[in-house]
Amino acid sequence: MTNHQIFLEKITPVEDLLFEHVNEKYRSVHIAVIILIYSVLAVLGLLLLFTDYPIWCIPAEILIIISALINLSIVARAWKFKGYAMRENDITYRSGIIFPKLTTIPFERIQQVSVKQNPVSKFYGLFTVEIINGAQGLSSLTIPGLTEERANQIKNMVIDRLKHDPN
Amino acid sequence: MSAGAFFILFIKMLKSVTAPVMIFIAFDIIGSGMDIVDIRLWIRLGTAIGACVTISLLLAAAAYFPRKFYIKDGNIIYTRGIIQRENACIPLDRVHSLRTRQGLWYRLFKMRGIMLDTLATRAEEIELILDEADWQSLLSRIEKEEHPKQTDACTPPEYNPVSSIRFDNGKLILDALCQNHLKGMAVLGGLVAVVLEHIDDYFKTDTITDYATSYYDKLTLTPTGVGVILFAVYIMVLLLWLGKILLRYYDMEMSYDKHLLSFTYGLLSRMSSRFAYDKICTIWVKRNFFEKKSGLCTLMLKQALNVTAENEEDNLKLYGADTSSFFLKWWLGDEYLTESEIISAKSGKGVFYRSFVPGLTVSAGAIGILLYMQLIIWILIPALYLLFVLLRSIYAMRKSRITLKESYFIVHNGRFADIENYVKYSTVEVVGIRRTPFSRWFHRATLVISTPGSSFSVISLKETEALQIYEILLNKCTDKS
Repeated sequence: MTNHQIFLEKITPVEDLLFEHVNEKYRSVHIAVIILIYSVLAVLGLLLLFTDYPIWCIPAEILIIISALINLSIVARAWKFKGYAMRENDITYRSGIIFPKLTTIPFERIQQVSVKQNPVSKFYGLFTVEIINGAQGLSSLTIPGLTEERANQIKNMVIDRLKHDPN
Repeated sequence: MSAGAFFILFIKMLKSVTAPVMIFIAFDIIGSGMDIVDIRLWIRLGTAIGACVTISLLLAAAAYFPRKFYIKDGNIIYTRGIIQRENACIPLDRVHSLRTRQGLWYRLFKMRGIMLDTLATRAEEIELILDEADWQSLLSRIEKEEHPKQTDACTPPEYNPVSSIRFDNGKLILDALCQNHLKGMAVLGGLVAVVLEHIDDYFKTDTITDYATSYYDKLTLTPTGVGVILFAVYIMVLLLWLGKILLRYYDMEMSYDKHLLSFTYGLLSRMSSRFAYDKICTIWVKRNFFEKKSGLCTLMLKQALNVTAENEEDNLKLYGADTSSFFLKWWLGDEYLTESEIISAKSGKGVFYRSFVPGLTVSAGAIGILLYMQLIIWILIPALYLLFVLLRSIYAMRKSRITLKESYFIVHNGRFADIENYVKYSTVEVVGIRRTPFSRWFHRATLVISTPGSSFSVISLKETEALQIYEILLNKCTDKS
């Protein structure tokens, strides 16, 4: 059993790391997704016109529009906060401005790395890297809004780390 | 993947497409009242079959053509999907097990479905449909790439029991009585569901309804009547709970050596569970007030679960005498008690609010409704519930904390009972920090730790302490010295 002393001041805090932002085009992806979701909700709200209470359609639509505007207004700040950082032994991802989240996975715990693309991100030429580990909760870490080159770079770096540091 | 794989995908798609289409067509034909000799019926059937085949062919093509796999630099690279495109990369040395499937259609085309399992709990199952030559090639590549260290770790330790323990049935019953008996409600609920399922429709709908309607006036209950009924239900629930524990854990025996714990238990059917030293990721110890007074405890050994594990039933619960020090010594080492403490952090009021606010909302709602209905005496029930929630929340806040030692850490939680989760740093997979909109004023954060078989959230820690623990955990879990 080891018994090494740990000096807390010698550890570089993960929050002091320089986080790399996801691609700027990701803001457009985010906006497109919000518009898409709220458009569907607005159409569903219009269905109230065919019920016995058509008047409820107005507050429903107003609520949907206000929610959409609030969501759209925080897109830029959310993008600015979203970021990833790699250290010697782990990869960290930061997201969320209302409920900020910081998640770190040590490289040696990673089981699988995937590069994904959905129709919206495909339109903007962006990719998502999904890093899967063996945990019960937080079993994957997803970094969206990356160019193909950057996504493959991250994937290769992680795989390379796994090769040099097999558990 | 070869052409045979396309046919297998086609058959799979045909199976999934045909059933709903045929059900729809059957309803359509019955609804239209067409005769069997009516040519329109056969045209409809023919069209449906044609549509099924065409859709299946399109779906099979969509699944087959983008699906590619190859092995490069010791990794399995797997590409799939048209709408959601995915390029997965699995290092061969992370492949934990290979499962194969050879149903009728597979055998007909001399193919084999291969599923790769890693330790990932959440990863989607990837099925490769390969012919024999490709399968043999994949197998030999994986065998070649397996890291020697990992091969040793995966080899099951030789089972050589050196000692055994027999658990006391008297203490099992005593500890079962110390538990929350209301858990027996689940057993009662299960029994009621089975009974209702087997009651004849006529009996259920007519006789019971008639009886209830004719005696409706007499069924109006007083608070005393409700009390008597609740007491009777409680006794029944208590007996069911005891029965469940005895049936499951009666006469428990354990054999052990340094690598393996092996349990046999059960009253009517004897069951067995094995826990390899390397696979255990948490030891959960619970002591409530009654257990502490009687020298008892409830203990659970939590194992790593992967994608193939069905549920957490593998996590055997041990009721009875306080054996925690034995299991902790076996797993953490003889010096586990004397190890020095690195850091300890206690939760704040956030735990209280998180537990109390939902209870307060429910109680306030119930009191409001009862006041509106002028059922004043019944307000006692939500008021007592609120008191219970208040006490539960205070205890939850007091108990929630995390302590980091040299080779392991303890997550303390529980409400009325003291719960200790002992976790080794080597089993930590992910660490996270979560904040709320209030964090900027109160400077509190939630620390999330996940292992292959358990996950913990230590709520409302001081932000600075949470970040320190976060760093120490990451440092310790990758420390190989």
